[in-house]
Amino acid sequence: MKAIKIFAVRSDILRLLKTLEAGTEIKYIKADSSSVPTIQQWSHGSDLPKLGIADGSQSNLCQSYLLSYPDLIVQPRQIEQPDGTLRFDVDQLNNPDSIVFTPAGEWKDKVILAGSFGTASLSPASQSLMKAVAAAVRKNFSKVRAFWVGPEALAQWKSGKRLTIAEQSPSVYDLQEED
Amino acid sequence: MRLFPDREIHRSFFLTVNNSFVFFRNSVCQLNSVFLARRIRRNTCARSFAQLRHFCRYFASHCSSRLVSQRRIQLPPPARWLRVADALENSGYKVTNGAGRGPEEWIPGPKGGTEGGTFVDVTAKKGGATIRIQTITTLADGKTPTPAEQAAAARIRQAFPKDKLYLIPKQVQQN
Repeated sequence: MKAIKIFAVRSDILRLLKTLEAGTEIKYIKADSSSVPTIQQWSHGSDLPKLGIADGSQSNLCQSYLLSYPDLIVQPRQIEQPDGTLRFDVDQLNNPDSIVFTPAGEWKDKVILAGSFGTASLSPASQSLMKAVAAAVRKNFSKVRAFWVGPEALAQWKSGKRLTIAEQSPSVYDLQEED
Repeated sequence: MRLFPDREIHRSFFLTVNNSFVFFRNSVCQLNSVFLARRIRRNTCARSFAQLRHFCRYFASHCSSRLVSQRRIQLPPPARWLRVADALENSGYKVTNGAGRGPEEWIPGPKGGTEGGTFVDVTAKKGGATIRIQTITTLADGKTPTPAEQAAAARIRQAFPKDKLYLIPKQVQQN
C-alpha cells in the first residue's frame, strides 16, 4: 500500500487521528531538516502545531511527519552541504518502519490543499501502519474520485471552496463532482 | 552486481506469472506487463528467483486494495534516483518525495481523478521553490522523450506551471 490522498481541515484530521490512536499506539515525528540532530516527536495528533493549516501554496511545501509505532528509534540522516556544514534530515530513508503523513489543509482561506499518508517502505511495520490508517480513513472520510475527503472539507467544497493540489494549479486539477 | 542477464530476468518474470497465472489474472487489468517487466528488469537484476517470486506475490496481494493509487507495485528506488536525490541534497535541497525518502509525488488526473494521473520520480524543495526530476525513456537519438514520457512531462508542467521540471534521459543516468 503506497499512498492515501486526503482533503481535510483541522477538525477532520483530528477526528481521523483520534480514530487511529484509539486502535493503535503511535507517535508523530517531525520530518524536517536542521543543522543539529534534533528530533521533535509527539504522542497525540492534537498536539501537532498548526495542524490543518498549510505551510505553503502546495502540498509539497507543507510540513510532514513520520508516523511510527512508539518503539521506533529515529535515525536522522547526515548530509554534507556545499558550504561544508552538516544538515540532519529526518525521513523514511533511515526510518523505514514508518509512514509519511502530510496533513496540508487550509491555505489563505482560499483553498484546501491535498494532504496524504504514504510510504516508500515495504517493511511490515510500515505496511501495518498504512492499513491502520486506511481503516481510519474509510471510517471517517468519503471517497470522491482519487481522494478521501473529510466531512468538514466536504461541506466547504460543496459551498464553493477549491480543493486542489496547489494554489498555482489550473482549475482542471481541482476536485470536481463525479459525473 | 548482476546475477542474470536481462533476458533471463525477463523470462523468469513471465515464468513466475505463468506459475501463478490465476492469481494474477484478476489483477492484470491494472497491469501493463511491458511496463512491469521493464521495471522489474531495471530494479531486480541483482535479485534471486526467490526474491523475485516474493515480489510477484506481494504485488498480486496488494492489487485488490481500493485505497492504493494507480501504481500498484513498490520496489526499492533505482540507483539513478538515489544518485539524483543525493546530488540535490548536497546542493542544499530537501528531497520531499521519491528516492526512498518518502512516497513519490502523485499528480491527479483532470477533475482530481485517478485516470491520467502521473507519478514524479523525485520532488525537492529549497526555500519556497519546488523542483521536480523525471527520468525519461528516449527515442533512439537519446534526447527526444518517447510520446508517453512527453505526455507525462506535459501533465506535470500543466499542473505546476510555476515550478521547474527537469527531464533526465535514463541512458545518461546509467552512465
